Amino acid sequence: MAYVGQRANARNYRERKEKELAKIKSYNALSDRVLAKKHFGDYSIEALDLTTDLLAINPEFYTIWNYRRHIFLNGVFPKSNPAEIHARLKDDLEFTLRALKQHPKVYWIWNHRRWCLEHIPVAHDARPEAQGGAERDGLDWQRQSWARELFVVEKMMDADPRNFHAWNYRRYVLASLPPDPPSGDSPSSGPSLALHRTPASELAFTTKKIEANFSNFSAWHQRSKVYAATGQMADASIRDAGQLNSPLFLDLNSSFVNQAMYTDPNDQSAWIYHRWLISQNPDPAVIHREIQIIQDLLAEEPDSKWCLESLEDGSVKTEVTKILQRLIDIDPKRKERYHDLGLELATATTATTTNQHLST
Amino acid sequence: MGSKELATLVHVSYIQSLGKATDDLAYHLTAHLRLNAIYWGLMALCVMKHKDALDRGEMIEFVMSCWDDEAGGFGAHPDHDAHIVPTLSAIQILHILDAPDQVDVPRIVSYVISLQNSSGSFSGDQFGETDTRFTYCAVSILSLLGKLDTLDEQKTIGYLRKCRNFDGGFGNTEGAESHAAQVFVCVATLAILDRLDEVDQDMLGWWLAERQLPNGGLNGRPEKLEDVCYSFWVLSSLSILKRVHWIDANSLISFILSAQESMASDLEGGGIADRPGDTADVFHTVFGAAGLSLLGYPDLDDLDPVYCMPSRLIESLGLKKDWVALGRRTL
Repeated sequence: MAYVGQRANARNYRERKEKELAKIKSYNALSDRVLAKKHFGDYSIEALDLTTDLLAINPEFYTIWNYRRHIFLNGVFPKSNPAEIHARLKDDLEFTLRALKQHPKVYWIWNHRRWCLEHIPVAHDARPEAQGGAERDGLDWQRQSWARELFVVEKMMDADPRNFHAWNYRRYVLASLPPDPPSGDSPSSGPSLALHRTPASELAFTTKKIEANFSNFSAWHQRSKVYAATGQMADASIRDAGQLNSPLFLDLNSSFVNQAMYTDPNDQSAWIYHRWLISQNPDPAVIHREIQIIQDLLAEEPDSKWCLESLEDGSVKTEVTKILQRLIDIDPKRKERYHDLGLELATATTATTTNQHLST
Repeated sequence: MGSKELATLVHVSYIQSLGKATDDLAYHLTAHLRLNAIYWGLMALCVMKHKDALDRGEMIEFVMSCWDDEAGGFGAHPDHDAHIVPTLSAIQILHILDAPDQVDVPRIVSYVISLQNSSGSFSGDQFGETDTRFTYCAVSILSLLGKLDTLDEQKTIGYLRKCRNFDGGFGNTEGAESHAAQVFVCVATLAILDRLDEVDQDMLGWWLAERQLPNGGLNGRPEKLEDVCYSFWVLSSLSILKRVHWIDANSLISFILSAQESMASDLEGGGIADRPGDTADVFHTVFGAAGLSLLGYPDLDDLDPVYCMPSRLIESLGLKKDWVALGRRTL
């Protein structure tokens, strides 16, 4: 029986290998054909279609994406009117969306979408009377494409909320959106054409993502960026709109973080963010309150490494040596770090004592 | 699994077999990574002290066949377009093989410099995708070629500063989340430029130490799975920051060794996988071996964590920076 099984396996293997060799032959033939056309500067539609076939099999073949863009720029676009260019690019956005669903982490696919978006023609028909109805589509190619893109990338993030390609791409889309039309221009019946996100709405976006999963460090990261951006904004009106810099807001934000810390004390995402948040708000009252909250949590979870880690970082030096010893016990993988922190503390204490001694 | 030793000889034959796997479809579908893969294979052999297991003449010939004369850089394969990543691979391979004179230095320098954008970032190629990986490639290439004086250092460092995050790490573009591989490229770039003062070393050291998971393996971002390749990205960064001892070496060594394909299913396989039980590939083989070298695993050659090249070679080029790996253990 075993012998029969082996023979069947050998036959299966041979059959599989034959199929694979056939695939290799046709793939290499296609690849050679496309590279030969590229070599001779063939920018025809036929060449374009062959790149579609090849990229559908292998979306990582970056040379072929490059060649495809050269075909557009040198062969297709010069012979097309804006509507035709727009149609071609829309096809490529569909093509790359199908590819992305299969390969959500391939840089080259995301990259080609950027290129497509950046080449959507400016609306051809800008006559005021062309506004409304089907004609309006012609006016807003760019705006519509970018709006759709935001929708697409947020869908991709629903599928994988930690995909850093998608997060990066979303930041890129938000930064690239065409300016919103003056509010008076928006047709009263249609949807709002305003695409830009206010800091407050962006913050709400990260809240939604974090509430769906407290471990989503990508969303915590984005939250830090919203703050950083608003902190740098000189325009007081923007600041006031979201009240992002007000102590009240930081306060609220902080209790949001506390909730995450309490939900899963072993999840480092919220703790890393919390450490930064506190460093941004060195108000003694806030720090005192946070220490209290963490101490309460520690009382419930005496082995919580992150509680101890936070207390070590934030606080009262007399306690630190004890905390570090406890951390060495419960988190031995990083014992050398705690040891180094202890040495640093000892050196700092000696230096302070010496200084005090010298000054008296 | 549960293996205690690095199966060096099995991995050497695995790497030798890679170039002959022409009846595997995967071999053909990865042609766009060929030059990178040769660098990974060669570097893994160097770490395991079997540099001569691949034919030197064939490798040099292949590298030179990837030259894209129109762009002035190397593609990953003959007839593929130049890109900054395979260009670095080409230069690394030629240096390791003691054949650096083969390349047209002025053309490569002007290719690399042409890829810098006004923001200070670098593009990977003619179509302009930017990433801090490409900054590292540019700076490493210029440094290896002795042409760092052609670089606008202020602009370059200014961009990296913008990619630094609240957790002390770096992302692949401005605004992007910290990721251990991007931390390596940014920290190593700053090390080459002698600008580690741009790094919050305690904060970043902490973030890197927290990449270690209970099974000993390292992840690349908080709350993600472990993967052997982070053994290099995290450890190289920690070496440059002189804090490799902030993670537990023994459990990481066990994790890397347990991801050896030879120990997972059949002894014929060879190579190291991303994690135990998965299929090996040359990328995880080199970064697993590199991690073991930085951890002082016995009978391996020293690896320079800044350039990911043999330590002695970097020293002989006068490029060695002030990093610290764990001392070499004896068996």
